[in-house]
Amino acid sequence: MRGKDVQLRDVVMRFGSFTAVQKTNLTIEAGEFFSILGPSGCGKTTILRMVSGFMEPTEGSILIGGDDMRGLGPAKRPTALIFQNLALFPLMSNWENVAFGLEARGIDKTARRAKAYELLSMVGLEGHEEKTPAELSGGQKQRVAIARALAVEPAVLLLDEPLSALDLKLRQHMRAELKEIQNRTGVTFIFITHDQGEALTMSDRIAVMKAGVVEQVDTVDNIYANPKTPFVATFVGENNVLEGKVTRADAEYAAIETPYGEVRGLNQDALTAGDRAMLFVRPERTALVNGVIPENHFEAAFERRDLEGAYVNLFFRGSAGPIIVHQPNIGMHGHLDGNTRVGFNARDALVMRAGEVDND
Amino acid sequence: MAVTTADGTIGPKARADKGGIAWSSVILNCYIGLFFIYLFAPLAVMSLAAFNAYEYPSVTQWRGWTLHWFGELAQDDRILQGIVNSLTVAVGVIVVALPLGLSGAMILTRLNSRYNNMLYAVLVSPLLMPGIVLGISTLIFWGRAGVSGGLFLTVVAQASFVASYCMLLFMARLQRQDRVLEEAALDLGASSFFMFRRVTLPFLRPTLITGAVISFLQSIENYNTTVFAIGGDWTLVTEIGSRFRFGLSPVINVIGVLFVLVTIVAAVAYTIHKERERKRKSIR
Amino acid sequence: MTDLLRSYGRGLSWIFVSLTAFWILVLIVLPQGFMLETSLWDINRDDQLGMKIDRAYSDLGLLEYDVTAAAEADKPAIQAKIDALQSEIADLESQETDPPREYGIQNYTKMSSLHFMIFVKSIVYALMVTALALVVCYPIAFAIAKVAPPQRAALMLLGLVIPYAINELLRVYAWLMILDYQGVINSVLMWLGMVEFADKSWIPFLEYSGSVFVALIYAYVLFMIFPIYNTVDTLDRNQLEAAKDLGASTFKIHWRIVIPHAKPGIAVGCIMTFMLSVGSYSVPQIMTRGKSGDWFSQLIYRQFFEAQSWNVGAAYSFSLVLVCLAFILIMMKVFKVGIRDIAK
Repeated sequence: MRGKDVQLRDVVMRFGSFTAVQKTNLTIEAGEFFSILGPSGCGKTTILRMVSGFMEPTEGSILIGGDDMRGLGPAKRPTALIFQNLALFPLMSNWENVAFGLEARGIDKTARRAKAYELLSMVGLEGHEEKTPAELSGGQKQRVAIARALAVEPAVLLLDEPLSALDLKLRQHMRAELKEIQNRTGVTFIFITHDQGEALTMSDRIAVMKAGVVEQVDTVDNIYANPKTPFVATFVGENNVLEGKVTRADAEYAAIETPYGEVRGLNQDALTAGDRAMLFVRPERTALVNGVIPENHFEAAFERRDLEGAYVNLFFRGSAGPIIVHQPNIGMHGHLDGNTRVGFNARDALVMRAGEVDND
Repeated sequence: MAVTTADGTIGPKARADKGGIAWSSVILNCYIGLFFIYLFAPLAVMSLAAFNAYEYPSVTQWRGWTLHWFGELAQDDRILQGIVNSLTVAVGVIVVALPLGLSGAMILTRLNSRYNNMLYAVLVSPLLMPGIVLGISTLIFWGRAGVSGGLFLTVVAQASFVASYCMLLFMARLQRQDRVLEEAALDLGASSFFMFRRVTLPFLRPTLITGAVISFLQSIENYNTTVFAIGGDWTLVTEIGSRFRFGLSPVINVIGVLFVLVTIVAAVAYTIHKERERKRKSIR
Repeated sequence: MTDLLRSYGRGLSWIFVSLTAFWILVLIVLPQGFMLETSLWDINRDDQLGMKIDRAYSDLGLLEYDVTAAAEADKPAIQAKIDALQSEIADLESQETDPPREYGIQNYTKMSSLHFMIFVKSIVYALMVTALALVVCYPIAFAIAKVAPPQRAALMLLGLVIPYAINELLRVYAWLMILDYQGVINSVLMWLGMVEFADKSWIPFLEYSGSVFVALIYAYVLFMIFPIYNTVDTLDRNQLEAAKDLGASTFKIHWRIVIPHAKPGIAVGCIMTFMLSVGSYSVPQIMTRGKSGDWFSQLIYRQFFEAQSWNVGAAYSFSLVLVCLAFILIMMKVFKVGIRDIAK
C-alpha cells in the first residue's frame, strides 16, 4: 500500500471577494478511490489545485500523510495530477513523456528509459514507446498520461475530469481500467468529475459539492440511497420531487400536503408539522398501480415512453409536475393511454427540508 | 443595395457593375505589373552597371562587359573589414536582443497588471522612433559614461530596437502556448529551470531561429542608427554610405549584385524548403 | 507577478525581470533621458576668459616680483594678494576646462529660420510620402490578400520581399543612377534629342527635392504594404461577396467594408512610413549628395559630427521624437486603434 491520506482542515479559498470554497473539512483515506462530484463552478477544481499545490488555501491547511503542505509547490508534493486535456508534451516521444518526472529528478537515461518502458507496458502500450503523443488515439494518450503520473510514484493521484474528452464506449472502458490500476497500485485517487455515473461506478466514497460547499460525503451506496440534501438527491441519479408543507410527522415518517393529497415518506430531517418540505422518490421505486395498492398513489397523464435497453422510462405529468417511472424491460408493455394511476411506498420515499435542487 | 425590378431580375445597375468588375480587374492587373516593374527595374539597372567597363557607374555609357569590378572588390580591404565588422555586430545584436526580447515577452504575457499597456508601449517604442534618434541617444548616454562610438555602441544601439522585434515574435508564439504543459512539468517534480529548458524552450525553438534570422538581417541592413553609433569604426553599410560622398565606383554595384544573388538564393532555398515541408506533411 | 513567480520560480523570474529592467533603463529610458537633458542646456563660454587668465598671470608675476623686493613688514599683505589671485586663476581655469552649463529651452527656441523651414519641409514631405505610399500600396495589398489565387499571392509576396532584403542604401543608389545627370532618364532624353550632355543641358533631377521624394517612397513602400496586407488578409471573403451580391459598387465595398476592417493595418503602415521618412538619413544623404537643400536628419547629423554642438543636435533629435509621437497619437485617434494594435 503506497497511498497516503489527505486531510483538508478548515480550508477556505477566496479570490478577491468571491469565495470559491467555503470552510471545508474533509478526510480522504489512504488508498481510497475518492470522487469529488459537482456541477461546473462548484469549487471542485479549486480543491484539486490546492491539493496539488498550484494554489495555497486562503485559510486552513492541507495535510498529506500527516504532513502540512503549506508552502510546498507542486513539484515538492507527493501528488501527481492528470490534467483534463492530459497535457502530454507534444515534442517528446511517449517514453520521454513518461520518464519526464524521473529526468527532472536526475535519474540517468538507461534507468529512466527502462522504467518508462515498464510503465507503458503496464498500461498496455508496448510498441508505442518511440512514437509521439500525436500518433496515438484518445484512449492511448490517456494511458500515457496515467503512466507519466505513476512514474513519479505519487502517494496521491489527482484526476481532473480526464475522461470527459472521450467517447462513451471508451469512457466506460477507461473507468474499469482506472479502477483496476488503482486497485493494483494502492495509490490514493482523487477524481474530479461532474458526471455522476462516472463517480458512482468507480469510487469508494464521494463528496458532492455545490457552490463552494461540500453537501455530503459518503459511500457510493449511501449517497444514492440516503441523500442528505435536496441538491444531492437530484444531482446524483434521478428523483421525482413533490413539494409541500408537513401536515403530520413522527420519528419515522412525515406526511406532506400536495395537490395529490397527503403523501408520506421517511422523515429524515426530524421535521415537524408546518415545515416546508420536499419528498423524493426514485423512478425505479415508483410504479404503475396494478393489483397491490401502495400507500401513496395518484393519477397522472401518460406522455411518452423511452426505451433505454435494459429498462424503460415512462413519463407522466401530474397536477404537481412531471413523474418518471423506470420499469425493468421484461417485455410487459401494456397499453398506456390517458390517465394512469402511479404510486410508491412510504419507506421508499425521503422527506427532507425544502432546499435548492439541481435543475438540469 | 440590390436594384431589383418588379419581375425579380437584377436591374441595370447591378449589370453595369458586373461589366465594371471585369474592367477593374484588368486595370488592377496592369497596375500590379507596373508596380513590380517599379520595384525591380532600379535593381536591374544597378546590377547591370556592375558589369560595365566604364569607371563611373552607368548603364547608358556602355564600354563593354567586364568582371574587373569584382576583382577590385576582392582587394578592397576596407570593404572586406566592413563585412567582418558587420558580421561581428550582427552576432552581438543576436546575443543581446534575443534574451531581452524573450524576457520582455515573458513578462508581458505572464503579468496581468494595470501597467501592462504602459510597459508594452515602452518596450515597442524603439520601433516607433526614427533610427537616427536611437543612435543619437545611445551616443549621448554612453558618451557620458566615457564610452565613445564604435562596434560596441553599434551593438547596443541596434539591440535596443531589434529586441522589440524579437519581443513581438516571442509574444505571438507565447500566446499560442498551452500553459498547462508547464504546470504538468512542475507537478511531475521539475524545477522551474528544468521546466523552462525542457518544455518552454523547445516550444519556443522555431521563434528563436526566426528571431535570430530577423535580428541578423536587421543588423546587417541598418544604416540610420549605425551611422551615429559607429564612431571611427565602420560596417559594410556605413562604408558604402561614405563611398557615396567620396566618388562613386562600380564596386558598389558589385556589392549590390552580390546582395541580389544572396537574396535570390535564400528565397529559392526557402521556397524549396517550404514546399518539401508541405509534401512531407501531406504524406503523413 | 505571482503568476510569473509560480511558473518560473525566483531564479528565472529574477532573470526575466532584471533583463527587461536593463533593456528599459539602459537601452531605452536613460538614453532618451540623457538626450532630453542634453538638449536642455548649453555651454556659456566666456569669450574674454582666455584674456582674463592671461592678465591674471601677468599680475601674479608682478606681485611675485614685488614680494621678493618688498620690506619685511609689507610681505604678508602682498602674500595675501597673491593667494587671492591664485584662487581666482584656479576658478577661471576650471571655467575654461569645465564651463558652466546654462539650462533652458534655448536650443529649441533659437532654431534659425532656415533650420525651422527645413524642419517643417521634412515633416510636410514625410506626410506627403505617407499619403502617396498609402494610395500606391492599398490596391497591391488588397490584390495580394483577396484577389490573387494563393500560388500567385505567394509569388507576389516573395517579389515584394526580395527588393527589401537588399540594402536600403543600394536600393536608393539604384535611383541615384536613374536620376543622375548622366543617368538613365537623361540618357533617354538625350537619345530623343531633348537634352545634350556636352553643354550640360541635362535636367538636374538630383537638385530637386522630388528626387528624395521618389526614393523615399521606393525605400519604404513595404512598410505600408505588409501591415495592410496582414489586416485585409483576415477579412472574411464572404463579406465581400455578400456586399457584391447586394449590389454595392467596388468603391462602396472598399469604403464600407475593406477599409474599416483594415484600419489598424493602415494606421501602422502610415506610422511606420512617416516615421521612417521623416527620420531618414540615408535617402536624402545619397540622393542629394549635398546638391539640393538639406533634410532635417542631415541637419542633425551635422550638429553632431561637423558643428560639434551636441546640445543643439539633441534638441533637434528630440523635436523629431515629439513629431513622431504626435503623429502616432493622431493616427491612434483618427483610426481609433489602441497601442496593442500598433506594432504587430
